Amino acid sequence: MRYFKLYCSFLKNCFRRETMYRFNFFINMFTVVFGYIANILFYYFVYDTGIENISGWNRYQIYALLATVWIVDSIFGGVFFFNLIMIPSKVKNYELDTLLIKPVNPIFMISMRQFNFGLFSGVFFGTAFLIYAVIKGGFPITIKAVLGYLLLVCCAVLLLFSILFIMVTFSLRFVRIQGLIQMFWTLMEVGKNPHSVYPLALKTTFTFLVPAIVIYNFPMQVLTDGKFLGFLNKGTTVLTAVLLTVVWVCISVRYFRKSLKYYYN
Amino acid sequence: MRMQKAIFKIKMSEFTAYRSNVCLNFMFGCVPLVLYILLWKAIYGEQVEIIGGYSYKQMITYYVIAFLLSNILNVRDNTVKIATMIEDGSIHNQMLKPIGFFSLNFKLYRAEKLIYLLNISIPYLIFCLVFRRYIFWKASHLPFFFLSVCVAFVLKYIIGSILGFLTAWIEEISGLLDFWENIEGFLSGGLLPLSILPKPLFTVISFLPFKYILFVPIDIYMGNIQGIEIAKALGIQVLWSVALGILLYKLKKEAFRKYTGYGS
Repeated sequence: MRYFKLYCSFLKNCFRRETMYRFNFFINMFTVVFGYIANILFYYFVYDTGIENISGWNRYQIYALLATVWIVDSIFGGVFFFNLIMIPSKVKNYELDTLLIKPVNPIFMISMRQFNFGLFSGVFFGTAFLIYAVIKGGFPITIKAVLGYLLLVCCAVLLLFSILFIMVTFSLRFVRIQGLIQMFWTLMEVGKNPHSVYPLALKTTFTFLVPAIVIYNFPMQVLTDGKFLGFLNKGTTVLTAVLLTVVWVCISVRYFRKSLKYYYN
Repeated sequence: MRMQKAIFKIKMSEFTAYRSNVCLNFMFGCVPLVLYILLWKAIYGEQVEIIGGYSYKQMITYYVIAFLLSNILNVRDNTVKIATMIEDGSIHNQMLKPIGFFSLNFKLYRAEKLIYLLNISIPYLIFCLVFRRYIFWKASHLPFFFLSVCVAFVLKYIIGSILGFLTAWIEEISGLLDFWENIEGFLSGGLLPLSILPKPLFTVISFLPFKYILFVPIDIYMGNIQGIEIAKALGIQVLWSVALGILLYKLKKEAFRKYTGYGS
Protein backbone atom coordinates (compact mmCIF):
# COMPACT_ATOMS: atom_id res chain seq x y z
CA MET A 1 0.00 0.00 0.00
CA ARG A 2 2.87 2.34 0.91
CA TYR A 3 4.50 1.65 -2.46
CA PHE A 4 1.21 2.13 -4.28
CA LYS A 5 0.71 5.56 -2.67
CA LEU A 6 4.27 6.49 -3.44
CA TYR A 7 3.86 5.43 -7.07
CA CYS A 8 0.66 7.48 -7.39
CA SER A 9 2.51 10.58 -6.23
CA PHE A 10 5.30 9.82 -8.76
CA LEU A 11 2.64 9.65 -11.47
CA LYS A 12 1.07 12.96 -10.43
CA ASN A 13 4.45 14.65 -10.38
CA CYS A 14 5.42 13.28 -13.80
CA PHE A 15 2.10 14.27 -15.36
CA ARG A 16 2.46 17.85 -14.13
CA ARG A 17 6.00 18.06 -15.46
CA GLU A 18 5.15 16.58 -18.85
CA THR A 19 2.19 18.86 -19.44
CA MET A 20 4.26 21.92 -18.63
CA TYR A 21 5.65 21.90 -22.19
CA ARG A 22 2.40 20.95 -23.88
CA PHE A 23 3.55 21.45 -27.46
CA ASN A 24 6.53 19.21 -26.89
CA PHE A 25 4.40 16.63 -25.06
CA PHE A 26 1.91 16.27 -27.90
CA ILE A 27 4.52 16.34 -30.62
CA ASN A 28 6.46 13.62 -28.77
CA MET A 29 3.32 11.52 -28.56
CA PHE A 30 2.54 12.09 -32.23
CA THR A 31 6.12 11.20 -33.20
CA VAL A 32 5.94 7.85 -31.44
CA VAL A 33 2.57 7.11 -33.01
CA PHE A 34 3.88 8.04 -36.45
CA GLY A 35 6.92 5.78 -35.95
CA TYR A 36 4.67 2.76 -35.46
CA ILE A 37 2.31 3.81 -38.24
CA ALA A 38 5.30 3.99 -40.59
CA ASN A 39 6.10 0.36 -39.74
CA ILE A 40 2.49 -0.62 -40.40
CA LEU A 41 2.55 1.28 -43.71
CA PHE A 42 5.70 -0.60 -44.70
CA TYR A 43 3.85 -3.93 -44.57
CA TYR A 44 0.62 -2.39 -45.92
CA PHE A 45 2.36 -1.25 -49.09
CA VAL A 46 4.37 -4.47 -49.41
CA TYR A 47 1.20 -6.59 -49.27
CA ASP A 48 -0.47 -4.17 -51.66
CA THR A 49 2.02 -5.11 -54.36
CA GLY A 50 0.33 -8.50 -54.59
CA ILE A 51 2.35 -10.49 -52.03
CA GLU A 52 0.08 -13.03 -50.36
CA ASN A 53 2.25 -14.05 -47.45
CA ILE A 54 5.68 -13.47 -45.94
CA SER A 55 7.16 -16.78 -44.82
CA GLY A 56 3.64 -18.05 -44.26
CA TRP A 57 2.39 -14.96 -42.39
CA ASN A 58 -0.60 -13.21 -43.87
CA ARG A 59 -1.26 -9.47 -43.63
CA TYR A 60 -3.29 -9.65 -40.41
CA GLN A 61 -0.86 -11.92 -38.58
CA ILE A 62 1.84 -9.36 -39.31
CA TYR A 63 -0.48 -6.57 -38.14
CA ALA A 64 -1.10 -8.46 -34.88
CA LEU A 65 2.67 -8.75 -34.43
CA LEU A 66 3.15 -5.02 -35.05
CA ALA A 67 0.35 -4.20 -32.60
CA THR A 68 2.04 -6.39 -29.99
CA VAL A 69 5.37 -4.61 -30.58
CA TRP A 70 3.52 -1.31 -30.12
CA ILE A 71 1.86 -2.41 -26.87
CA VAL A 72 4.97 -3.98 -25.32
CA ASP A 73 7.27 -1.08 -26.25
CA SER A 74 4.75 1.48 -25.00
CA ILE A 75 4.37 -0.17 -21.59
CA PHE A 76 8.10 -0.66 -21.22
CA GLY A 77 8.89 2.81 -22.57
CA GLY A 78 6.30 4.50 -20.37
CA VAL A 79 7.06 2.69 -17.12
CA PHE A 80 10.74 1.71 -17.15
CA PHE A 81 12.84 2.91 -20.07
CA PHE A 82 13.57 6.50 -19.05
CA ASN A 83 14.35 5.43 -15.50
CA LEU A 84 16.82 2.82 -16.59
CA ILE A 85 18.72 4.92 -19.12
CA MET A 86 19.19 7.60 -16.48
CA ILE A 87 21.06 5.26 -14.14
CA PRO A 88 24.51 5.79 -15.78
CA SER A 89 24.22 9.58 -15.48
CA LYS A 90 23.04 9.19 -11.87
CA VAL A 91 26.12 7.11 -11.14
CA LYS A 92 28.33 9.69 -12.84
CA ASN A 93 26.82 12.64 -10.94
CA TYR A 94 26.59 10.79 -7.58
CA GLU A 95 22.79 11.22 -7.60
CA LEU A 96 22.39 7.49 -7.06
CA ASP A 97 23.64 7.85 -3.49
CA THR A 98 20.66 10.08 -2.64
CA LEU A 99 18.25 7.47 -3.97
CA LEU A 100 19.95 4.61 -2.15
CA ILE A 101 19.66 6.18 1.28
CA LYS A 102 15.88 6.56 0.95
CA PRO A 103 13.84 4.10 3.07
CA VAL A 104 12.39 2.29 0.03
CA ASN A 105 13.50 -0.60 -2.13
CA PRO A 106 16.35 0.79 -4.31
CA ILE A 107 15.20 -1.14 -7.39
CA PHE A 108 11.72 0.36 -7.07
CA MET A 109 13.14 3.82 -6.57
CA ILE A 110 15.54 3.83 -9.51
CA SER A 111 13.38 1.95 -11.99
CA MET A 112 9.95 3.49 -11.44
CA ARG A 113 10.49 7.09 -10.39
CA GLN A 114 9.74 8.54 -13.85
CA PHE A 115 6.66 7.78 -15.95
CA ASN A 116 6.40 8.84 -19.59
CA PHE A 117 2.74 9.46 -20.45
CA GLY A 118 3.47 10.29 -24.09
CA LEU A 119 5.07 6.89 -24.70
CA PHE A 120 2.56 5.00 -22.58
CA SER A 121 -0.36 6.35 -24.63
CA GLY A 122 0.81 3.97 -27.36
CA VAL A 123 -0.81 1.12 -25.41
CA PHE A 124 -4.26 2.39 -26.39
CA PHE A 125 -3.39 2.84 -30.07
CA GLY A 126 -1.67 -0.56 -30.12
CA THR A 127 -4.67 -2.26 -28.51
CA ALA A 128 -7.06 -0.65 -30.99
CA PHE A 129 -4.87 -1.83 -33.85
CA LEU A 130 -4.65 -5.32 -32.36
CA ILE A 131 -8.44 -5.53 -32.17
CA TYR A 132 -8.65 -4.42 -35.81
CA ALA A 133 -6.09 -7.05 -36.88
CA VAL A 134 -7.84 -9.81 -34.92
CA ILE A 135 -11.29 -8.95 -36.32
CA LYS A 136 -10.10 -8.53 -39.91
CA GLY A 137 -7.90 -11.61 -39.70
CA GLY A 138 -10.81 -13.69 -38.42
CA PHE A 139 -8.69 -15.34 -35.73
CA PRO A 140 -10.67 -17.59 -33.40
CA ILE A 141 -10.07 -15.89 -30.04
CA THR A 142 -10.76 -17.65 -26.73
CA ILE A 143 -10.60 -16.28 -23.18
CA LYS A 144 -7.70 -18.63 -22.55
CA ALA A 145 -5.82 -17.12 -25.48
CA VAL A 146 -6.48 -13.57 -24.25
CA LEU A 147 -5.27 -14.45 -20.76
CA GLY A 148 -2.21 -16.15 -22.24
CA TYR A 149 -1.56 -13.05 -24.32
CA LEU A 150 -1.80 -10.73 -21.31
CA LEU A 151 0.52 -12.99 -19.33
CA LEU A 152 3.07 -13.03 -22.14
CA VAL A 153 2.89 -9.24 -22.58
CA CYS A 154 3.74 -8.92 -18.86
CA CYS A 155 6.60 -11.39 -19.37
CA ALA A 156 7.78 -9.38 -22.39
CA VAL A 157 7.88 -6.13 -20.41
CA LEU A 158 9.72 -7.83 -17.55
CA LEU A 159 12.19 -9.40 -19.95
CA LEU A 160 12.91 -6.04 -21.57
CA PHE A 161 13.30 -4.54 -18.12
CA SER A 162 15.67 -7.29 -16.95
CA ILE A 163 17.90 -7.18 -20.02
CA LEU A 164 18.26 -3.40 -19.99
CA PHE A 165 18.60 -3.39 -16.20
CA ILE A 166 21.58 -5.74 -16.45
CA MET A 167 23.12 -3.52 -19.13
CA VAL A 168 22.72 -0.29 -17.17
CA THR A 169 23.92 -1.98 -13.99
CA PHE A 170 27.28 -2.25 -15.75
CA SER A 171 27.50 1.50 -15.23
CA LEU A 172 28.01 0.87 -11.49
CA ARG A 173 31.36 -0.58 -12.48
CA PHE A 174 32.25 0.99 -15.83
CA VAL A 175 30.26 4.30 -15.86
CA ARG A 176 30.24 4.80 -19.69
CA ILE A 177 27.85 2.33 -21.32
CA GLN A 178 26.16 4.29 -24.14
CA GLY A 179 27.09 1.66 -26.73
CA LEU A 180 25.34 -1.05 -24.69
CA ILE A 181 22.01 0.79 -24.75
CA GLN A 182 22.19 1.03 -28.52
CA MET A 183 23.11 -2.64 -28.67
CA PHE A 184 20.02 -3.43 -26.61
CA TRP A 185 17.61 -1.81 -29.09
CA THR A 186 19.47 -3.24 -32.07
CA LEU A 187 19.15 -6.77 -30.69
CA MET A 188 15.49 -6.24 -29.90
CA GLU A 189 14.85 -5.34 -33.54
CA VAL A 190 15.26 -9.03 -34.37
CA GLY A 191 12.07 -9.87 -32.49
CA LYS A 192 10.01 -7.30 -34.35
CA ASN A 193 9.96 -9.34 -37.56
CA PRO A 194 8.12 -12.64 -38.04
CA HIS A 195 10.39 -15.33 -36.59
CA SER A 196 9.94 -17.56 -39.62
CA VAL A 197 12.08 -15.26 -41.79
CA TYR A 198 15.16 -16.28 -39.79
CA PRO A 199 17.27 -19.42 -40.15
CA LEU A 200 16.94 -21.92 -37.29
CA ALA A 201 20.26 -21.04 -35.63
CA LEU A 202 19.32 -17.36 -35.42
CA LYS A 203 15.82 -18.22 -34.26
CA THR A 204 17.13 -20.42 -31.44
CA THR A 205 19.70 -17.81 -30.37
CA PHE A 206 17.09 -15.07 -30.23
CA THR A 207 14.68 -17.25 -28.32
CA PHE A 208 16.85 -18.76 -25.61
CA LEU A 209 19.99 -16.61 -25.42
CA VAL A 210 18.67 -13.12 -26.18
CA PRO A 211 14.90 -13.59 -25.93
CA ALA A 212 13.87 -10.95 -28.51
CA ILE A 213 11.57 -13.43 -30.28
CA VAL A 214 9.98 -14.40 -26.95
CA ILE A 215 9.30 -10.74 -26.20
CA TYR A 216 7.50 -9.78 -29.40
CA ASN A 217 6.56 -12.93 -31.31
CA PHE A 218 5.33 -15.22 -28.52
CA PRO A 219 2.36 -13.16 -27.23
CA MET A 220 0.98 -12.75 -30.74
CA GLN A 221 1.35 -16.47 -31.49
CA VAL A 222 -0.57 -17.44 -28.39
CA LEU A 223 -3.35 -14.96 -29.13
CA THR A 224 -3.89 -15.84 -32.77
CA ASP A 225 -2.89 -19.49 -32.55
CA GLY A 226 -0.39 -18.51 -35.20
CA LYS A 227 2.91 -19.85 -36.41
CA PHE A 228 4.74 -21.35 -33.47
CA LEU A 229 8.42 -22.13 -33.49
CA GLY A 230 8.81 -25.65 -34.88
CA PHE A 231 9.73 -27.20 -31.53
CA LEU A 232 7.18 -25.36 -29.39
CA ASN A 233 3.39 -25.63 -29.17
CA LYS A 234 0.97 -23.27 -27.41
CA GLY A 235 1.50 -24.65 -23.88
CA THR A 236 5.27 -24.91 -24.10
CA THR A 237 5.43 -21.44 -25.64
CA VAL A 238 3.78 -19.92 -22.54
CA LEU A 239 5.87 -22.06 -20.22
CA THR A 240 9.12 -21.14 -21.99
CA ALA A 241 8.30 -17.44 -21.83
CA VAL A 242 7.45 -17.58 -18.12
CA LEU A 243 10.54 -19.62 -17.25
CA LEU A 244 12.84 -17.33 -19.23
CA THR A 245 11.28 -14.29 -17.54
CA VAL A 246 11.85 -15.73 -14.07
CA VAL A 247 15.46 -16.55 -14.93
CA TRP A 248 16.20 -13.11 -16.41
CA VAL A 249 14.51 -11.21 -13.56
CA CYS A 250 16.44 -13.23 -10.97
CA ILE A 251 19.74 -12.68 -12.78
CA SER A 252 19.15 -8.93 -13.14
CA VAL A 253 18.18 -8.44 -9.47
CA ARG A 254 21.07 -10.53 -8.19
CA TYR A 255 23.53 -8.78 -10.48
CA PHE A 256 22.29 -5.38 -9.35
CA ARG A 257 22.65 -6.30 -5.66
CA LYS A 258 26.15 -7.63 -6.29
CA SER A 259 27.16 -4.51 -8.25
CA LEU A 260 25.71 -2.33 -5.51
CA LYS A 261 28.13 -3.88 -3.05
CA TYR A 262 30.94 -3.01 -5.45
CA TYR A 263 29.54 0.53 -5.72
CA TYR A 264 29.42 0.96 -1.92
CA ASN A 265 33.07 -0.02 -1.74
CA MET B 1 41.99 26.97 -47.86
CA ARG B 2 44.01 27.53 -44.67
CA MET B 3 40.82 27.87 -42.68
CA GLN B 4 39.43 24.70 -44.26
CA LYS B 5 42.61 22.89 -43.24
CA ALA B 6 42.36 24.18 -39.66
CA ILE B 7 38.69 23.15 -39.43
CA PHE B 8 39.53 19.71 -40.76
CA LYS B 9 42.29 19.35 -38.17
CA ILE B 10 40.02 20.35 -35.28
CA LYS B 11 37.28 17.99 -36.38
CA MET B 12 39.78 15.19 -36.90
CA SER B 13 41.07 15.45 -33.33
CA GLU B 14 37.47 15.61 -32.03
CA PHE B 15 36.66 12.48 -33.98
CA THR B 16 39.74 10.53 -32.93
CA ALA B 17 38.55 10.79 -29.34
CA TYR B 18 35.26 9.06 -30.21
CA ARG B 19 36.43 6.81 -33.04
CA SER B 20 35.55 3.55 -31.33
CA ASN B 21 32.11 4.92 -30.54
CA VAL B 22 31.53 5.86 -34.20
CA CYS B 23 32.65 2.46 -35.46
CA LEU B 24 30.57 0.65 -32.82
CA ASN B 25 27.49 2.69 -33.76
CA PHE B 26 28.07 1.91 -37.40
CA MET B 27 28.45 -1.80 -36.77
CA PHE B 28 25.28 -1.99 -34.70
CA GLY B 29 23.60 0.02 -37.42
CA CYS B 30 24.46 -2.79 -39.82
CA VAL B 31 22.29 -5.27 -37.89
CA PRO B 32 18.98 -3.82 -39.20
CA LEU B 33 20.49 -4.08 -42.69
CA VAL B 34 21.06 -7.80 -42.22
CA LEU B 35 17.48 -8.08 -40.96
CA TYR B 36 16.26 -6.30 -44.10
CA ILE B 37 18.19 -8.81 -46.23
CA LEU B 38 16.41 -11.70 -44.48
CA LEU B 39 13.01 -9.99 -44.46
CA TRP B 40 13.08 -9.09 -48.16
CA LYS B 41 14.30 -12.58 -48.99
CA ALA B 42 11.12 -13.86 -47.34
CA ILE B 43 9.00 -11.21 -49.09
CA TYR B 44 10.32 -12.06 -52.54
CA GLY B 45 10.34 -15.78 -51.72
CA GLU B 46 9.17 -17.71 -54.70
CA GLN B 47 6.25 -15.40 -55.33
CA VAL B 48 7.64 -12.42 -57.25
CA GLU B 49 10.67 -11.32 -59.19
CA ILE B 50 10.13 -7.56 -59.19
CA ILE B 51 8.54 -5.31 -56.56
CA GLY B 52 8.12 -1.60 -57.30
CA GLY B 53 10.55 -1.91 -60.21
CA TYR B 54 13.25 -3.52 -58.04
CA SER B 55 14.64 -7.02 -58.20
CA TYR B 56 15.74 -8.66 -54.91
CA LYS B 57 19.36 -7.66 -55.51
CA GLN B 58 18.38 -4.09 -56.31
CA MET B 59 16.17 -3.94 -53.24
CA ILE B 60 19.01 -4.98 -50.93
CA THR B 61 21.36 -2.54 -52.67
CA TYR B 62 18.72 0.15 -52.17
CA TYR B 63 18.82 -0.39 -48.39
CA VAL B 64 22.62 -0.64 -48.29
CA ILE B 65 22.99 2.73 -50.08
CA ALA B 66 20.10 4.30 -48.15
CA PHE B 67 21.77 3.25 -44.91
CA LEU B 68 25.07 4.87 -45.89
CA LEU B 69 23.41 8.02 -47.20
CA SER B 70 21.17 8.50 -44.19
CA ASN B 71 24.23 8.29 -41.95
CA ILE B 72 26.21 10.76 -44.02
CA LEU B 73 23.28 13.10 -44.52
CA ASN B 74 22.24 12.96 -40.88
CA VAL B 75 22.08 16.59 -39.90
CA ARG B 76 20.64 16.26 -36.40
CA ASP B 77 23.85 17.18 -34.57
CA ASN B 78 24.16 20.40 -36.52
CA THR B 79 20.50 21.29 -35.98
CA VAL B 80 20.83 20.71 -32.24
CA LYS B 81 24.05 22.75 -32.26
CA ILE B 82 22.31 25.75 -33.86
CA ALA B 83 19.35 25.37 -31.49
CA THR B 84 21.63 25.19 -28.45
CA MET B 85 23.59 28.24 -29.60
CA ILE B 86 20.36 30.24 -29.77
CA GLU B 87 19.12 28.83 -26.46
CA ASP B 88 22.23 29.41 -24.38
CA GLY B 89 23.34 32.58 -26.12
CA SER B 90 26.61 31.25 -27.48
CA ILE B 91 25.52 32.39 -30.93
CA HIS B 92 26.98 35.72 -29.77
CA ASN B 93 30.40 34.30 -30.56
CA GLN B 94 29.39 33.48 -34.09
CA MET B 95 27.87 36.91 -34.68
CA LEU B 96 31.09 38.63 -33.63
CA LYS B 97 33.38 36.54 -35.81
CA PRO B 98 34.68 38.13 -39.05
CA ILE B 99 33.16 35.29 -41.06
CA GLY B 100 29.57 34.62 -42.11
CA PHE B 101 27.58 32.24 -39.91
CA PHE B 102 26.83 29.74 -42.67
CA SER B 103 30.27 29.95 -44.16
CA LEU B 104 31.84 28.64 -40.95
CA ASN B 105 28.99 26.35 -39.94
CA PHE B 106 28.82 24.63 -43.33
CA LYS B 107 32.58 24.15 -43.43
CA LEU B 108 32.50 22.54 -39.99
CA TYR B 109 29.60 20.32 -41.03
CA ARG B 110 31.33 19.30 -44.27
CA ALA B 111 34.60 18.48 -42.49
CA GLU B 112 32.72 16.44 -39.89
CA LYS B 113 30.93 14.38 -42.53
CA LEU B 114 34.09 13.88 -44.57
CA ILE B 115 35.91 12.51 -41.54
CA TYR B 116 32.89 10.35 -40.70
CA LEU B 117 32.98 8.96 -44.24
CA LEU B 118 36.69 8.20 -43.92
CA ASN B 119 36.08 6.41 -40.63
CA ILE B 120 33.23 4.22 -41.77
CA SER B 121 34.51 3.51 -45.27
CA ILE B 122 36.48 0.42 -44.20
CA PRO B 123 33.71 -1.28 -42.15
CA TYR B 124 31.25 -0.35 -44.92
CA LEU B 125 33.45 -1.88 -47.62
CA ILE B 126 33.87 -5.01 -45.51
CA PHE B 127 30.10 -5.22 -45.15
CA CYS B 128 29.63 -4.83 -48.93
CA LEU B 129 32.26 -7.51 -49.59
CA VAL B 130 30.66 -9.96 -47.16
CA PHE B 131 27.26 -9.43 -48.74
CA ARG B 132 28.56 -8.93 -52.30
CA ARG B 133 26.21 -11.50 -53.79
CA TYR B 134 23.28 -9.33 -52.70
CA ILE B 135 24.74 -6.12 -54.11
CA PHE B 136 23.74 -4.71 -57.48
CA TRP B 137 26.81 -3.15 -59.06
CA LYS B 138 26.29 -0.48 -61.71
CA ALA B 139 29.04 1.96 -62.51
CA SER B 140 27.58 3.73 -65.56
CA HIS B 141 25.65 6.36 -63.58
CA LEU B 142 28.14 6.81 -60.74
CA PRO B 143 29.16 10.42 -61.66
CA PHE B 144 25.50 11.51 -61.69
CA PHE B 145 24.89 9.60 -58.48
CA PHE B 146 27.75 11.43 -56.71
CA LEU B 147 26.54 14.75 -58.09
CA SER B 148 23.04 14.05 -56.83
CA VAL B 149 24.38 13.04 -53.40
CA CYS B 150 26.32 16.32 -53.19
CA VAL B 151 23.18 18.35 -53.91
CA ALA B 152 21.22 16.21 -51.42
CA PHE B 153 23.95 16.96 -48.87
CA VAL B 154 23.41 20.71 -49.30
CA LEU B 155 19.63 20.32 -49.33
CA LYS B 156 19.72 18.33 -46.10
CA TYR B 157 22.01 20.91 -44.47
CA ILE B 158 19.59 23.69 -45.40
CA ILE B 159 16.56 21.82 -44.03
CA GLY B 160 18.43 21.00 -40.81
CA SER B 161 19.49 24.63 -40.35
CA ILE B 162 15.92 25.86 -40.92
CA LEU B 163 14.78 23.56 -38.10
CA GLY B 164 17.63 24.78 -35.89
CA PHE B 165 16.70 28.45 -36.37
CA LEU B 166 13.09 27.71 -35.42
CA THR B 167 14.39 27.66 -31.83
CA ALA B 168 14.10 31.44 -31.92
CA TRP B 169 10.30 30.91 -31.89
CA ILE B 170 9.84 27.45 -30.34
CA GLU B 171 11.79 26.94 -27.12
CA GLU B 172 12.07 23.17 -27.14
CA ILE B 173 12.63 21.60 -30.56
CA SER B 174 13.70 18.05 -29.66
CA GLY B 175 10.14 16.74 -30.14
CA LEU B 176 9.72 18.58 -33.41
CA LEU B 177 13.06 17.22 -34.58
CA ASP B 178 12.10 13.61 -33.83
CA PHE B 179 8.78 14.12 -35.57
CA TRP B 180 10.46 15.66 -38.61
CA GLU B 181 12.99 12.82 -38.81
CA ASN B 182 10.20 10.26 -38.82
CA ILE B 183 8.25 12.04 -41.55
CA GLU B 184 11.37 12.67 -43.59
CA GLY B 185 12.54 9.07 -43.17
CA PHE B 186 9.30 7.84 -44.68
CA LEU B 187 8.83 10.46 -47.42
CA SER B 188 12.45 10.35 -48.59
CA GLY B 189 12.32 6.60 -49.14
CA GLY B 190 14.29 5.55 -46.07
CA LEU B 191 11.72 2.97 -45.06
CA LEU B 192 10.99 1.53 -48.48
CA PRO B 193 11.50 2.60 -52.11
CA LEU B 194 8.90 5.22 -53.00
CA SER B 195 8.10 3.42 -56.26
CA ILE B 196 6.29 0.77 -54.18
CA LEU B 197 3.75 3.35 -52.98
CA PRO B 198 0.46 3.76 -54.86
CA LYS B 199 0.76 6.11 -57.82
CA PRO B 200 -1.37 9.01 -56.44
CA LEU B 201 0.68 9.05 -53.22
CA PHE B 202 3.92 8.87 -55.18
CA THR B 203 2.79 11.84 -57.29
CA VAL B 204 2.00 13.90 -54.19
CA ILE B 205 5.41 13.05 -52.67
CA SER B 206 7.10 14.11 -55.91
CA PHE B 207 6.01 17.68 -55.22
CA LEU B 208 7.88 17.70 -51.90
CA PRO B 209 11.66 18.03 -51.41
CA PHE B 210 12.11 14.80 -49.38
CA LYS B 211 12.23 12.50 -52.39
CA TYR B 212 15.37 14.28 -53.59
CA ILE B 213 17.32 13.42 -50.44
CA LEU B 214 17.47 9.63 -50.71
CA PHE B 215 15.21 8.15 -53.35
CA VAL B 216 16.37 10.17 -56.36
CA PRO B 217 20.15 9.65 -55.86
CA ILE B 218 19.62 5.89 -55.38
CA ASP B 219 17.29 5.71 -58.37
CA ILE B 220 19.98 7.38 -60.45
CA TYR B 221 22.52 4.78 -59.27
CA MET B 222 20.13 1.94 -60.11
CA GLY B 223 19.67 3.25 -63.62
CA ASN B 224 15.92 3.66 -63.18
CA ILE B 225 16.30 7.27 -64.28
CA GLN B 226 17.90 7.67 -67.69
CA GLY B 227 19.13 10.41 -70.04
CA ILE B 228 17.23 13.68 -69.86
CA GLU B 229 15.35 12.45 -66.77
CA ILE B 230 18.62 12.60 -64.79
CA ALA B 231 19.16 16.23 -65.77
CA LYS B 232 15.55 16.99 -64.83
CA ALA B 233 15.92 15.29 -61.43
CA LEU B 234 19.18 17.10 -60.70
CA GLY B 235 17.60 20.39 -61.81
CA ILE B 236 14.68 19.95 -59.40
CA GLN B 237 17.12 19.08 -56.61
CA VAL B 238 19.03 22.31 -57.25
CA LEU B 239 15.79 24.30 -57.44
CA TRP B 240 14.66 22.96 -54.06
CA SER B 241 18.05 23.82 -52.58
CA VAL B 242 17.87 27.38 -53.90
CA ALA B 243 14.27 27.90 -52.75
CA LEU B 244 14.91 26.51 -49.27
CA GLY B 245 18.25 28.35 -49.14
CA ILE B 246 16.40 31.65 -49.64
CA LEU B 247 13.93 30.66 -46.91
CA LEU B 248 16.81 29.81 -44.58
CA TYR B 249 18.52 33.14 -45.26
CA LYS B 250 15.32 35.06 -44.44
CA LEU B 251 14.68 32.93 -41.38
CA LYS B 252 18.18 33.51 -40.07
CA LYS B 253 17.75 37.26 -40.55
CA GLU B 254 14.46 37.20 -38.64
CA ALA B 255 15.89 34.95 -35.93
CA PHE B 256 18.87 37.24 -35.38
CA ARG B 257 16.50 40.22 -35.21
CA LYS B 258 14.31 38.47 -32.65
CA TYR B 259 17.24 37.11 -30.66
CA THR B 260 18.21 38.79 -27.42
CA GLY B 261 21.04 37.43 -25.32
CA TYR B 262 20.68 39.13 -21.96
CA GLY B 263 23.19 37.82 -19.48
CA SER B 264 24.66 35.23 -21.81
